[in-house]
Amino acid sequence: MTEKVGEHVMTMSTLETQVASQARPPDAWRHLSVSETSRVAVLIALLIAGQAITPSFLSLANIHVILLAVAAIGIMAYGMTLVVITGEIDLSIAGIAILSCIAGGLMIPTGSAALVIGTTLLTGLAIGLINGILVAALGIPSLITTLGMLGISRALANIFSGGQALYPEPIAAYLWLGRGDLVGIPLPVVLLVVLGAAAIALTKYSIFGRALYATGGNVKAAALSGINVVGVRAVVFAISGACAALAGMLESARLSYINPAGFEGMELSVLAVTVLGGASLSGGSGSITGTVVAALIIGIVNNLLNQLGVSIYLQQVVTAAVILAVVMPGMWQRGIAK
Amino acid sequence: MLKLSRRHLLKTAATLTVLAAAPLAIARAAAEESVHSVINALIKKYSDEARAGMSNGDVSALFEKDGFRDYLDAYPVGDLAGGFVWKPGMGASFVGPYSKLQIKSPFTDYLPLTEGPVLDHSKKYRIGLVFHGFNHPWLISLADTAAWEAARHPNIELEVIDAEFDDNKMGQVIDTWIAKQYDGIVLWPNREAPMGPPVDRAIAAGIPVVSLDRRTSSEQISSEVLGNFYANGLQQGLYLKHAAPEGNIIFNRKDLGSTADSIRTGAFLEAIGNTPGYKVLANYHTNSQRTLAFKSTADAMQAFHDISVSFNTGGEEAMGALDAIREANRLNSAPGGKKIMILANDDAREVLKEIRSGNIEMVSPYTPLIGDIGIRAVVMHIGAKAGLNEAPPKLIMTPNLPMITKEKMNIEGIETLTPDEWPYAYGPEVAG
Amino acid sequence: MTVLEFSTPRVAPFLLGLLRDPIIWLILLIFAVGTLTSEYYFTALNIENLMRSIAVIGLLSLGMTVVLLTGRIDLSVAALMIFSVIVGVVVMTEIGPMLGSRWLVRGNTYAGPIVPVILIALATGIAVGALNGIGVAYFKVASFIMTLVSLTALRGFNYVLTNGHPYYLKAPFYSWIGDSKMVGIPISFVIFLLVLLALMGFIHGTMRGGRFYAIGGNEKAALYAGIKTQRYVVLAYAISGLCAAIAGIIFTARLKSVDAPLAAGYELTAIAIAVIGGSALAGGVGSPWRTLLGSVAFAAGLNLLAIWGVGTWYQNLAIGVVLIISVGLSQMSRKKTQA
Repeated sequence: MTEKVGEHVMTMSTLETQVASQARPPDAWRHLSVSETSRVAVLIALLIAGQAITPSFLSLANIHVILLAVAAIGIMAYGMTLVVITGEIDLSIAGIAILSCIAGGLMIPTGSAALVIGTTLLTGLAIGLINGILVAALGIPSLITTLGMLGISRALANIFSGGQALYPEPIAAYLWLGRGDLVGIPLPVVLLVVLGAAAIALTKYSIFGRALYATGGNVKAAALSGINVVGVRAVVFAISGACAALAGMLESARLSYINPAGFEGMELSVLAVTVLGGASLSGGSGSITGTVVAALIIGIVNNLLNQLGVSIYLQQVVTAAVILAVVMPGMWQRGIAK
Repeated sequence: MLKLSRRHLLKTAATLTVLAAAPLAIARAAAEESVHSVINALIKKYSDEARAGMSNGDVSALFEKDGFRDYLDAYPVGDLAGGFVWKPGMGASFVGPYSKLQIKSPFTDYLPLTEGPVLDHSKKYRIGLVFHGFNHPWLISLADTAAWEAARHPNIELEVIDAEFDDNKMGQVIDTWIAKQYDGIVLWPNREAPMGPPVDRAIAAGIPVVSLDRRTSSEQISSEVLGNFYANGLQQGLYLKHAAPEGNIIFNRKDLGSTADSIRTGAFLEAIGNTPGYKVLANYHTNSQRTLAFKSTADAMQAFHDISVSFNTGGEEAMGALDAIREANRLNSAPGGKKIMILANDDAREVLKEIRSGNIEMVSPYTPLIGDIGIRAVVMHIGAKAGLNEAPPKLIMTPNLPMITKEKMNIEGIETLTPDEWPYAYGPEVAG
Repeated sequence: MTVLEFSTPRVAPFLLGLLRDPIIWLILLIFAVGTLTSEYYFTALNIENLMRSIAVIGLLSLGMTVVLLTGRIDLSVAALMIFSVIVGVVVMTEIGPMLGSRWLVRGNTYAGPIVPVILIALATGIAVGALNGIGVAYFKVASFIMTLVSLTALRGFNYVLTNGHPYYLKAPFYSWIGDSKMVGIPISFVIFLLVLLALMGFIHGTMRGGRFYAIGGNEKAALYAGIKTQRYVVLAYAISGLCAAIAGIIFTARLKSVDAPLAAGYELTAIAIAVIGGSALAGGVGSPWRTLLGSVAFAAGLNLLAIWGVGTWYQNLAIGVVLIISVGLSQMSRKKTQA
C-alpha cells in the first residue's frame, strides 16, 4: 500500500520536472520541492515506530481515529494544493470554513437539511470565487487577497451569528456527515478518500490538470499557449473555498456545534501539510498524493504524541522537527543555488 | 517586593476569614449554613491536609510539577462583601442585550445599586468594558450582565470592546480610554502579568479600574471581582471521592499558567491527593478548545483502555471529551463495565442538558453573570473619588455556588442542585 | 543593473515621488478626519499611544521588508520577538546561581541585571534569524515552510522554557524603555526611528544593501554577477531576527513582563503592513521608508476606529476590505505606469 503511494509520488515528480523544465526559472517563493522519498520513508518509519511504541497503534480503532483527525485538514489541503500548484496561496480557508458553517447554520430553523448543507457549500464556493476573481482578474496578490478575506469572513461570521454558537442537532442529515458511516467507514474518511481520488484524477489525468501545472509553471507561457489562466485560477480558488466549507461542516457535524470562534490558525496547518506534501509555493509543482502522505504524517505524529502523553507545547516543537526531517534531505537532490 | 507583601497580606486575610468560618461550619448543621461558607470551610480543610502532605504519589507529582502551591496560596478565599448571603433563587431576570437570550442573573442584589441615574445626576459617566471573546457564550453573557446594569442607569454610557485574546491590544484599548478621559474601566483580563501596567496607568490617570473574574498583576487596581475557581476544582474532587474511591483519570486542562487552570486543577488535586486509589493516566492542555479536547480524548481512548474519569477544567473541554468518548463507543468502558465519569465546570445550557441525560456526571457552575457587579463596583469607586459614597472593598468575592448533579445529593455538607433547580445557566439552548 | 539603480541615493525624485504617493494622502486623510471627528484624537496622549503601537509592528514589518526584498518571507517574527526575551531571562536566571545570586525572586520577578538580558535577547534574535536564513539559503528549505517551522517550534519553546509562568521585568532601565519619553516622543518610537534610519542608510546608501534588490529582482543574474547570494539571504534573515528581538524588548518593556502566548498572529500583520507599504512578495520592490508609511497608515487607521469606539468585528472587517482595496489600487496604478 505504502509502496504504491511512493510509486505515485515518483510518477508525479517526473511529471512535475517535465512541466517545470518548460517553465521559466521560478521567481519568488522559489524553493526546491521536498524529497518525495524522504516523505514516504518518514511515514513508514512512523508506522513502524508507532506500532513498536503502542501495540494498539495499528488497530482498526486507532486507524479510524487518525483518519478522522486528518479528514478535515486533508480535504482543506486538497483545495490548497490546487491553489498552490497554480502559484497562488489561500490564507482564507479557516475564515471561509467558519463563515460558510454559520451561513448554513442560520438555515437550521427551516429544518431543511438540503438548505443547511447547500447554503454552507455554496457560501464557501462563492467566497472562493470572489478570491479567485480578485486574484486572477484584478491581479491582487493572493496572499493579500486571502489574508484580507480571512479577516472579512471571520468578522462576517461573528456579525451574522452575533457571536453565538449554533447547534445543528435537529438536522439529522447534517450530523450524519460527521458521525455517520458507509459500510463501517466513517463518512468523513469516505469523503477524504473519494475527494482525494477525484483530485488525483483532476490533476493527473485531465486537461484541466495540465492547465493547472502550466499556469503555475509560467503564466505568460500558459496564456500564450491558449490556456485560460484567469479561469483556471478562479476555479481553483472556488474549489478551495468549497473544500474549506465542506471540511468545516464535517468538523461542526462531528461535534454538533458550529463555533464562530473555531478553526483558529487552521490556514497555517493546512499550508504546512500542503508544502510538506511537496507543493512549491512558486507554483508549477505539488501533488495530491504527496499532500495525502503529508497529512498522514502530521496526523500520526499528533496521535502518537498524544498517546505518549507529550504536552501540547512540546508537541509543537516535535512537529516542527518532523517537518524539517522531511524537508531537509531535499538539499542533496538539487544542487542549484537559488 | 511589594508583590511579595501583597501575597502575604492576601493569604493572611484569606486564612483569617476561613478560620473564622470553619468552626461555625463544623458546629452547625451544614444545611443551615450558607453554601459560601460551607465550601470555604471545605477549601480550608483540604488545603491544610494537602499542605501537610499528599499520600497519593501520582497526584502529588502532578501537583508539584506545575507548581500549584504558589498559585493556590495567592488566590483569595474569603467572606462576601457587606455580609451578603446568597441563596439559590435570588437575582433578576432579563433578556441579554448582546446574546438576546433569556438570562437569570444570580448576583444582582450583591452590592446593589438602585435603578435610575447614579451619583451626580447632572453628569454623564463614561465607562469602558474591555474583554476577550465576543464569540464565546461565556464571555457574551459576561458582557450581557454588564450592559444590563449600565442600561439601568440613564447617565451611564458604556463602551464594550473585544480585544480578541490579544493582551497587548487590551492594553492599547485601555490607553485609548485614558486618552479619552473615561470615568471608569472594567476589564476581564486573560492573563495576569501583561495587564498590570495598563491598569496602573489608568489608576495613575485617576480612573478607577475593576477587574472581573481573572486577576491582573496591578497592585493599585481599585477592586477585583473574583471568581470562585477554588470552589470549582474542589467540588470536582469532592464529587469524585464521593462517587468512587479509585479511578484512572485523564485531564483536559486550560493553557498552562492561566489562573483558571492552576486553581481549578490545583484544588481538584488537593481534594483527591490523600486518597490512594486515583491514578493520573494522561494530562493534556487543550486550551479551552473543544476540538483540541476532542482530539486529545480520542487519542487517549486508544492509548488507554481503563480510563474511568475525564476531568475537565471547562465546559468546552467536557463537551469535546464527551463527543470523543461517544464517537469511540466507549461511554461504558471504565473498568468493570462502568461509565466513564465526566467532571466539568461552567454551567452552560448545553452542559446541563448532558447532566440531565446522564452523560456528564457533575458540573461546578462558573457563572459569567458577574459583569453587573463590576459595573456597580466601578460606579461606587467613581462616587468615592468624588466623596459621594464609600468605596467598595478591594477584594469582592463572588458567592461559591454548589455543584449540579442529575439527582440531588449531599456531599460533605454541600447540597447539590439538579439542573431543574438551576435557572442561571448561560448560552444558547440546544434544540432536539 | 538593479544594483546601480538602487545603491545611488535618490533624494530629489524620492521627495517628488512622495507627493504622488497615495499612502501619504491616506495618512493625512486619517489624521484630518480624526482631528475633525474627535476632540481626543490629536492629543499628546493619543499620539503617544499611536507612536508606541507603530514602534512594535513597525519594527516587525521593517525586518519583514528586508526579507521580502530578497523574494522570501519570514513567518517567525512574532514568535521570535517573545522567544528572544524569554531566552534572555531564562539564561540569566540560570547564570545567577553560578555567580552566587538568585535573580528570580518570588512571584517570578526577574531581579538581576537587565542589560545582559537585552544583549542576550538581541543575540538570540540574530541567531534564530540566521538559522532561518541558513535553512533557506544553504539547506534550500522553502522560506515559508522554514519559518513556519520556526514559528511552531518557538511558540512551543516559549511554553516549555517558562512552563507557562510569566516573568516580571521591572528593572528601572527596562521601564524607561517602555514608558519614558524624549522631547515628547516615546523611547520605543525613537528606537524604531533609529533602526529605520540605520536600515535606510544600509540599504540605500551602501553597495551591499543594494544587493538585496538585486537578489530579489533576479537572483540568477545576481549570482552570475558574482554576488554571494546565500550570504545575503542569511543576512536578511538575521536583520529580521534582530528587528524582531528589538520589537520584543520594547513590547515587553511596555508590559513589564513576558508571557509565552503574547503577540500571537502578529506575523500576518507585519506582512500586511510591508505589502501595504508597497513591498512586493515576488521580491525586489519595497523600502524601509515605505514600510514606515505602511505602518503609520495601518496603526493610525486602527487608532481612529478605536477612538470612534468601533467594535472589533467591524474593525476587522474594515482592515480586510482596506487591505484588499489599497493593494488592488496600487496594483492598478503600477500596471498603468508600466503601460
